[in-house]
Amino acid sequence: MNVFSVKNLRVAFPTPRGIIRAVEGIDLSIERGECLALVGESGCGKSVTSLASLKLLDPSVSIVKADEHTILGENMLDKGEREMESIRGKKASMIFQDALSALNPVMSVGKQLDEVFTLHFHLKKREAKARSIEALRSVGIENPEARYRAFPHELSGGMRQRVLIAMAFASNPALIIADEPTTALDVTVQKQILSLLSEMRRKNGTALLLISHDLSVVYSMADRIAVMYSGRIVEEAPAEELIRNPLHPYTKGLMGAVVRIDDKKGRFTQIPGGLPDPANKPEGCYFAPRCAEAAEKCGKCRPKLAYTGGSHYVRCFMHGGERDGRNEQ
Amino acid sequence: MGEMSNRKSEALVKTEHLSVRFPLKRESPFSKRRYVNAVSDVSIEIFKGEAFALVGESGCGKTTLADATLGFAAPSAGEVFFNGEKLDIRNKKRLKQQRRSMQKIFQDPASSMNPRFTVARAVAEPLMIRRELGEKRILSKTAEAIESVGLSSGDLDRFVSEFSGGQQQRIAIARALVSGAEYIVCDEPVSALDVSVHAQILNLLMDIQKERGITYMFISHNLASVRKFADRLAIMYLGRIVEYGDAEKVFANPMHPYTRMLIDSVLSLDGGKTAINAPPEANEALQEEQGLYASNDGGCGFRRRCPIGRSECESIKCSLEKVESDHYTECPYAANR
Amino acid sequence: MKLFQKSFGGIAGFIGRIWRHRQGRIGLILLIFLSLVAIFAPLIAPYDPYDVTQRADKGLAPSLEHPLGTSITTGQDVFSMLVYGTRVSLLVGLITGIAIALLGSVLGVAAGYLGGAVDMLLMRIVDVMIVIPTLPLTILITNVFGKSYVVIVLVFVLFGWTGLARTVRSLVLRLKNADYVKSAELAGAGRWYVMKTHILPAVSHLVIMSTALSCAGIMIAEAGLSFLGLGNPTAISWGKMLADAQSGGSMLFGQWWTIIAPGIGIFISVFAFMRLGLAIEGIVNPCMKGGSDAKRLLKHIRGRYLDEVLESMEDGAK
Repeated sequence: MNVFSVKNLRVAFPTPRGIIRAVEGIDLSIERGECLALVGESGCGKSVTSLASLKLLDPSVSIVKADEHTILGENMLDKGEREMESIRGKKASMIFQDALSALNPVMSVGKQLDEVFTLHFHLKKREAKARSIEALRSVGIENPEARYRAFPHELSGGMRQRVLIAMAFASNPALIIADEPTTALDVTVQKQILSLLSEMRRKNGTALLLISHDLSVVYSMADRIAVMYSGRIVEEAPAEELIRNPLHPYTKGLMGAVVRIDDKKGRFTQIPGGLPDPANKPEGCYFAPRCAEAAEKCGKCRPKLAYTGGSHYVRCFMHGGERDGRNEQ
Repeated sequence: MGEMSNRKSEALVKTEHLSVRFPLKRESPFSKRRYVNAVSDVSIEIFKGEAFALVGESGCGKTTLADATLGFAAPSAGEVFFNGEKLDIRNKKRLKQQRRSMQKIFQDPASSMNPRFTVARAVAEPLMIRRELGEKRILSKTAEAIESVGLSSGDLDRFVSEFSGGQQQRIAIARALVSGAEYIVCDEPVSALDVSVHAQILNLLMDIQKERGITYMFISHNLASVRKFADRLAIMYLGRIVEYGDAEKVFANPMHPYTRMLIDSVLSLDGGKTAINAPPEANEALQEEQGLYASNDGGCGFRRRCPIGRSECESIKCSLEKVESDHYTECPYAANR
Repeated sequence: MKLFQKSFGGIAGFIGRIWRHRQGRIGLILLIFLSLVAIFAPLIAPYDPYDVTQRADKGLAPSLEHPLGTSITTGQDVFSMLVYGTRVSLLVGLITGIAIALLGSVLGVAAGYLGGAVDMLLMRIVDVMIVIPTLPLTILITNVFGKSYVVIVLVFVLFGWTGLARTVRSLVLRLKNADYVKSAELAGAGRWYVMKTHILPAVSHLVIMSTALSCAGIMIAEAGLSFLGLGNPTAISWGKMLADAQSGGSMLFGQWWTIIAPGIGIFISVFAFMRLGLAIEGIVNPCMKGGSDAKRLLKHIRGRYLDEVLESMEDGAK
């Protein structure tokens, strides 16, 4: 059974400059215990997708629409804010990039952990505390009894991220969404946090939606990788397959952007141009203006996400993509 | 480029036993003032026309060291030389003169230019401050600079805030060029930008260096980019340089355990999958936590995180020792690990 | 050179942007209206309320001769008093507001930019001023130095500059360490240049905004003081009109217009300054107005184009 599934998710934000089409018809589904990575640059809609997955977008400033949206088989489309509150944190939880702003600065980390147990499991204070300390220990925090009383600013960045991870796993949810969980950390700490995440996931059998801009971060964790560009998925495949056999020129570009430690001094492989204006996207394929392989029709009509075999999908005319039905003229 | 001839050329920037310290907030007005050493006993040379990289984790003192070479941070001990001449913070007039050949490219281009400025004004500001050229000359130089970073002179009358991060960073580079700087500090110049424009900006910086022979101090935490970008480098840990020298030599033969740790933590697309699933080291949480705060208590600052640490490290007095020509390390036990 | 001069600042450009702002335009129009009334008071008012010979019977009801009746204590024409009262209220409000703006910004910039002992001294003074109870002290001062508007303005300025000075100081502190200031210093910029180009323009927006808001506050405070009988007894102001109506027992006799008239005057002028202040805040801090704009736009889109937008974002099946 799918832990999470969303079909034809669309998100738009009206702004004075025009309507920003942040997410344009995305399908995602995650199996039990699976890790799906959503990769793309800032502004590609990956974070918006993650927020929409838990209905965290402010409905007064955004338009969100999906044909189907389920968590553990339960339909989310008609759930109100009240019902969502009990789902978030219990069945699905989230790990944010900036642990310092995700934690309450005037509350000890232990008290914040307690809340997970008292709110969702109605445990007594003392039991909650014991569970919290256990949770802190499980994420490799030394001397958890002392750390229980610490305030977020008293901890290092890596420790805070560990606390967030402890919080996310505390209620043993079926799904965790991690939005750039290591971007704010130092390189040496990044690897520790990633290995902690993957270990916790394996131990608990949790499904993970991992969001990152960095293919190398994602590759070490994910079973499947979906690459997003300007609000659409441009390529999706099992992680090994995607890295070994990337088809979409943007995926190739992103892979080129991952510099290898054994490269010698010299020029970097670059993708020309910049992201399209989200309020005013190009007519044809969104990547065509930056694409080295673009042909004439790429600038005219939009390609569909097409199956190329081996559960590998790509949205590109040059690699077996078909044209999107609505743009035929 | 003749590498050897480069080496023999004189140093543009040089520090001698440079230390910079900041006062900590006093617990009470009567307690003794305590200091934190952001930079301690650093001696480096940056040669003309080279890209010198400064690598380390956040809070290790990289930015303070760079600021000291720009005359923004006062040394508590030691000296900074620019073009063979001492950089004296108190001699405001002379400092102003010396700074004319320095610029800095900041991490966040949006905050490094006044949002109320047009592109023309942001780029031309250094020239307008000097008031040496006529308006026509300023305008033509501005247009030339903006075109040399890949923007068009038609963009000059738009506001800086109208551009994307990558374009703003190009504008910031144009601004550094127009001032005729020969020494540019690039403080994590791409880490605030979209991944797909990283390469564009780094390539632009390299092209400009090739054309104009500019000297860079390139601050970064990404060792992989450093290897492609830099001629020489220094690895910094808790305010000290732990490994220093020719970039290729350091990468080919990394000596200090911290350098090796940094190199190991670079994620890659080949075989990374198995590497990450390895169980974490037993006490890594503690290692990471103690990182930035425990220092100056004698001994090697890295010893608590060090995989090859031994009892002697508690009391050792570290100093850079030669490994080979233009390759130095602080760790005396690195060679016979 | 035009390219280098174009900027968000510029007084004409700034007023233009206020004008394009919906709320700002309301404030601006009302303010111009009030200024015209104040300047041309003798032409608008049917009687001269300062002229003792032009007084009628006390407490007359509104009529063609006296559109808002006459005062219950002196028999002056209420409409004329209202018109003349604009002068005092507006003048006190503007002069005090501008004086506070000048003093507050100069001291705030000095504290923030010079730092050290200057900062220390000024901020301690601010701390002391903030805890002093203003009203009793004002009563005391006016009793000692006489009830004149000069004294009142001076008292307002004395107690009014501290808040602005603090906000200006913290803005200056932030700007002083901004990356672009560092960058200018590297290019050889001196203190004066940094001040003139990078700090003062940003400060000026803040000061203009807070001046508009403080003018509104001062006009209310002035009315309050006059109402308490601390204003100049010979001058005609809205607060004094209220005080007269109160002491004469207007409410007792059901002559509500003598109270409503100055009330409306105070309301309009405070409203005008508030609108203006909010408009400037919206212009200087664009993120503040973003929220309400987005909501309005969303409503608009929901109403008409929702299906169209959603359809345009659909993707063919996988």
